[in-house]
Amino acid sequence: MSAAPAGGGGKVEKVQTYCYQCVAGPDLMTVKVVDGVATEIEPNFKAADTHPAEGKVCVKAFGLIQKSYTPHRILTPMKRTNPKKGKDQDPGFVPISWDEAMSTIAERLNTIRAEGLVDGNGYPKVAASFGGAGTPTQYMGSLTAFLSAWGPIDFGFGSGQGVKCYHSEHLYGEFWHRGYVITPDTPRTNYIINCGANHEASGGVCGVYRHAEARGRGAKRIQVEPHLSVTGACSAEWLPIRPKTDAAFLMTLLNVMVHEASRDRLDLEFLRNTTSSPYLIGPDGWYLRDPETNKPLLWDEKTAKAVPHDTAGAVPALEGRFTVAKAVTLGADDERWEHADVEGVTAFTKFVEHVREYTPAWGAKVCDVPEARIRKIANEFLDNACVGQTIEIDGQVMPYRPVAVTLGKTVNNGWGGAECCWARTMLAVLVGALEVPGGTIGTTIRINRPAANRLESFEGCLDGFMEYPFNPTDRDTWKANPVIRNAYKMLVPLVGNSSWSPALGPTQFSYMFLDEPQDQIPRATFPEFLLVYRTNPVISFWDTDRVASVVSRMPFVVCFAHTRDETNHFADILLPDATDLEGMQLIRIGGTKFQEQYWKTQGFALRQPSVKPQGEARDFTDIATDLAVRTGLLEKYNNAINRGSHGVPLKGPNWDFSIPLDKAPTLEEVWDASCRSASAELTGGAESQGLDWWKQNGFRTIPYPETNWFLTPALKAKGLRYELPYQERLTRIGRQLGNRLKEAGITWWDHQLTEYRPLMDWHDFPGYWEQSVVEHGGKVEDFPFWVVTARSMQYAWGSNMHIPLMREVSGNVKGHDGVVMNPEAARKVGVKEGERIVVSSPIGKSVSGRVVLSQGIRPDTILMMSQFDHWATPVAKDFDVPSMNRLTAMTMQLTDATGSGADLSRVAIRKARPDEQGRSGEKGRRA
Amino acid sequence: MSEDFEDAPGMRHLGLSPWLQTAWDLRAAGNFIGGGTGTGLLIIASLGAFDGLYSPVLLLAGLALVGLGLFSVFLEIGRPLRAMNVLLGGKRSWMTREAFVAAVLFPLGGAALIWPDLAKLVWIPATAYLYCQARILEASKGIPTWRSPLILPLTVVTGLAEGAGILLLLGTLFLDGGAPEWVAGTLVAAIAGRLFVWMFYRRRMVGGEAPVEAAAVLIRFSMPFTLGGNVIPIAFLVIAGMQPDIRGAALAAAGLAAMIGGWAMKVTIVTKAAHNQGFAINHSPARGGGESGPGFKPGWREVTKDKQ
Amino acid sequence: MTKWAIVADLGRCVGCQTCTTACRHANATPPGVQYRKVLDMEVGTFPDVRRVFVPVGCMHCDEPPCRDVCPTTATTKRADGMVMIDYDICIGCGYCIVACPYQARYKVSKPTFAFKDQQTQNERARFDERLLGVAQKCTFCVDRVDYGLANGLTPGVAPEATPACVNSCLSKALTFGDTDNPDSNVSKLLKRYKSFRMHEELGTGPNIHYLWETEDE
Repeated sequence: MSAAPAGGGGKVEKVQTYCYQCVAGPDLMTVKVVDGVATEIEPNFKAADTHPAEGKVCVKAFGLIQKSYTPHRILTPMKRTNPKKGKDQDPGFVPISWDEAMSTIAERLNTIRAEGLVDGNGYPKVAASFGGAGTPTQYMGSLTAFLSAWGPIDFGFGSGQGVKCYHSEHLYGEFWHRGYVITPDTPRTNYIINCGANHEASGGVCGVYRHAEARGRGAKRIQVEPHLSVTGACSAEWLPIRPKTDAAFLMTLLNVMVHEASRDRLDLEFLRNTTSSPYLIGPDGWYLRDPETNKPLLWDEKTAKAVPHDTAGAVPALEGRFTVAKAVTLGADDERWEHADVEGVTAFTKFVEHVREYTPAWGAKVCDVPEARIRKIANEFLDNACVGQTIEIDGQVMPYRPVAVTLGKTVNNGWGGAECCWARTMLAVLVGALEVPGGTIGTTIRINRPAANRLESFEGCLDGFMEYPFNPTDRDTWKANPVIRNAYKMLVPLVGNSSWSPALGPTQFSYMFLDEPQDQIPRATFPEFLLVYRTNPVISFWDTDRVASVVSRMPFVVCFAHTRDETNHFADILLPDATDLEGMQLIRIGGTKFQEQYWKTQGFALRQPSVKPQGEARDFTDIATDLAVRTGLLEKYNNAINRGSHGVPLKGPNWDFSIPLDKAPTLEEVWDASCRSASAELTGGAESQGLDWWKQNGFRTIPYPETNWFLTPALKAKGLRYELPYQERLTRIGRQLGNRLKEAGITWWDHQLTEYRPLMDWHDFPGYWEQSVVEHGGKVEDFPFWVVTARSMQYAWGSNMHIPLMREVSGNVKGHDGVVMNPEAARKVGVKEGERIVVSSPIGKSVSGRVVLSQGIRPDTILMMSQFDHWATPVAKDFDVPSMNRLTAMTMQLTDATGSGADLSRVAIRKARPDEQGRSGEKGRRA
Repeated sequence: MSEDFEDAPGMRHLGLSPWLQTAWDLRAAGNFIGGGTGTGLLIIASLGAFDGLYSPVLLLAGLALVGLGLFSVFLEIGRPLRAMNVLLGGKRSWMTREAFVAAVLFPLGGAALIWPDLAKLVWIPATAYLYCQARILEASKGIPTWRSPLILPLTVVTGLAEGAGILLLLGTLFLDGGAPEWVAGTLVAAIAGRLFVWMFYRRRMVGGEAPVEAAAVLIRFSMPFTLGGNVIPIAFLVIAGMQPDIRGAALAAAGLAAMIGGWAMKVTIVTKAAHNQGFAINHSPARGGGESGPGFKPGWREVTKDKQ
Repeated sequence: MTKWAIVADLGRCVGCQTCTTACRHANATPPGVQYRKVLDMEVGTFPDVRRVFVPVGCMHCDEPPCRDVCPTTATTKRADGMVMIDYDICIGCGYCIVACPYQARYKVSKPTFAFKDQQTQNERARFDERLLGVAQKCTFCVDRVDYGLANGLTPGVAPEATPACVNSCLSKALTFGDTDNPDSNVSKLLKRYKSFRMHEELGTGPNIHYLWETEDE
């Protein structure tokens, strides 16, 4: 008989731990260890009732065993022996001892400390690049405490932020409804319009699980996207839209809803009382305000008078024009005008008039989709909205609006992203589906605080909205000089100033400004010390050749390195850290978190060593402690640990497990204290189980109310409204920012200032990229195709291209081995399946790859999945699959007001010549 | 990604349409060639014994061919040391039955070298062996060009054609006065039968019983096979009848061409038109509140049922 | 009687290949040997196109052609429907491979490893010489099912008794259970949904059922 698979005998342990390789984590898993060797990854069945996806982990987690045991692993610290840095230079890495490596690093750092942490131009001398949208911190132990102890660090050298993230959504989402990432309330929603989000590839385990459950009960999702992605495949319908025209599509839906559908299909009560729709706008475009209190006015139908927005018992008029006897308006920079008998028009009426021109006929033309489909989708959205219905969750009655709109990368970042976000949020607002069960909701916050609970992250402001931590734009406090190289605080008011903000700012400027000094700001300088962990910006950013050039000129680069890669190719020191299955860390789990992590519990999970570190790999906490000791920062470091910089404060109201400040703690001491503190936090100080208990049990949670998933009840409880549809605050801030820049003589940000408008409108966004062709000296007709990209579940955020298992199984999914194009496009170019093409972009860069024919893509668009194009990473360098990152322009012109760009370019395609037949990979491949 | 495993295409997303099986290569084809020709020869020679034909050379050649065929397939198996396990599956497997028959055929054939009268019995296990070979192919449900019921007559009749062919060849070389007259007639009949079955077989495969790529191989093969393996042998037979001075050579050429034609057919069917079934779905699923859609059978001519 | 089967809900499957990797781990198969994998099928022409993810593998057929052709009796069918291979008897003739209309069987003749000639620790720990040169395929994780049955667990319900692919499935597209039991998880699904089986016209009686639409109420 077929016996059990081999290797099952011996001493078997099942080690509970977590996988947080991607932003959609953490997920809980079990590692089967036989005689000390990790052999299998399994879901954590013990978490079936705790984790939102029954304790399962996705395909990437199964790569972790090969990740641990890869023969390509860096097993000792290494130093560069070739002082020349270049793509074509062999770094000549040679093994060194930990002591030599740490001494070299400490010497550099101590010199910097001695001479000053900030250079003459005001920029921090130490910079750090961590990729993966916060995931590296889930693996870097107490390094965060060291970073906190250090002082100013430039965290702005991004590795995809702004390009590969939901950038506009992050900023506007948090501004409008405290949603850093926006999702459907998937367990309850019945109808989703999804412009480009790739839930089934990048929504993580919870995303896949929740959407499958939704499909199981008959929910309908319409995928609007130029190609038929994995998510499109799993959707009820696919609408192949022209790239970057999603804003037009969404605005057309708004048009149908307010100009074709009857008003009673909208949630008028919500519009009237939970949004700024009834606020009266004066002729100068500012809110008409009460002269006494400066509060915005609305028209009270009961008294037929303009009254302040928070007047008790008022019945706000949603639509119309009203004459207000006396009012003031407040402009930018304390401008104030007084008005008498002035006409005020409601914000909603302004909105209705604003979207009048976006008819389905117009939208169909812009988006290249059938007019009837647009109309049908708008009406289905209304049909499914269940306006007026309620649902009871945990005893609380809430509105029930099971319709949602979600946006994906390239839709919700770069030019047009703001407009998409606005239109999407307005679609929810019109039917009262914002932040209520079944509707469009935010996951979590990263710009506002406290991060743990977004419902507690706001107080009201004078205008009746949630206060927002804008970076100042007033004359007195505006930051005229960048604090870090990407100038986020100076240029992007919406990005705020949380610990995440530097990495959210226009991160491409960190690279660009080094070679393109901008007028009127101190010239960007190379940081003297760059620390890199779990990121590979030379592969994952825009215009990667240019990023490589910049990184190659960094004076001193330290990379925590699992294997060689394209960024650590330029490193001076490589350090091997104990990786996913080898290190120790306690992290927070639960609550709500992107992408679709909506838990009914919250607590902590332990990552514990399943196996011994390979070679001389060291646990991150030990590395951090060593660094703290060598740089004389031990007391500050220990203090930071006690404060909880590493994830858990060691002191609470009635417990104190603080570590002594004067002694270097061991790995176990740090995490034992952390475990005790976590136990105490979860039990109100009643219990204090330490590391041993957590090693046995893996995770521990307490209930997290499901009602906390929804912001609207908390907003209403504070008597506040959503600032929609009209954007007075943004307009004011934009004006002020414009004034500041003008005063400073800065003109290079002028175009970006156009995004600050009271009502967002359609611009020819695809035209911005066509304009970019011209700016680079090309002709648009010479670049007739669009190139787009899509995430792959096997790879997204995983830094796992060197894992053969991922390569193997991703081969089962179309598009991983070449350039996906429609047969009609292939016919035009004169190529067949499997033949090689050369794809060129206006910036003069080309990549080549094999044709993968697909009917599931527009004929004017090609798709390059994921981001391959490796030349140093083992295994991956033999893929011979191109990436669009090398083609994408990194320019000021393509940077929007939030500082983001989009994964998009116009390209030319031609058949490769016989001498351009690439590296390898033809072997064993079927035509 | 390793491509070091057998019988699957490199990039799997392309492996939806039937692809050429690689589990059985020329070594397996060798068994059908040796076994078919050898048993064909033995059957005809054995039946010829009733007409007074007895030649140890023919018997030896027939047995050697069958033996070579078995040796050839022995080279293909993954665990040659366990080769005798092949005898365990007699309840169901035609491969085991073939081995059983071989266990009768070889002793009997060997005995017939000593006791010529036994040659009259050799046709019985030889026919059984040839039939087993036909059933081996027919039982391969995974290969549409093999599992056709027409593979049975085709295998049998080509075995006879090959046997008659080699008899003509060997007769010219080793028998006084060459092969008996009736052998040429037998060859004509076998070739006619083979062409007849081939025509139907090809039509059915091309008509939708085989994947498009496999059918294309058969289409490409059909003309050279018809001419080279069937018409030319007949032409040589005609020449042999009309030109007595080159009769022997013409008969040998006819036999050789008929035999090689059969071998080529087997190489083609076993290793070139041997695409597997591929994958298919009867319906595209409804995704959530969407509608279901049509089925899909990539690599096949026929279109599967539409939505019900 | 018992008849083990897998029900694959095509409406749920997202083609993520988590089952493929879980199977690779559970069965320690060499690179490229995927007892379970998910096909990515594209149906139709632009713009009316669908993409369907189809989990495939050994169908543990009612009338397994692989069993019928096996000359060694290495391939057998258990009373509970599982089609098994005895690696110690199989001679690796490959006949079952060509007999299987589902391309479910593999034969690997020499040791192969993820990093080519470099065998990693886990590969060393789990290397199984018995599998060289013989046929191999999905076993429905028979060791887990048998363990479960021996310990009073319900296969398809208790994870310890359930095939690794099913356990790992993120979208709950895969369900394992006993179709002979009218109250089992799989029987309930087959009642609620319309289903088909692949290549059913070949008379193999495959035991992966594909759900494609809810049964009309």
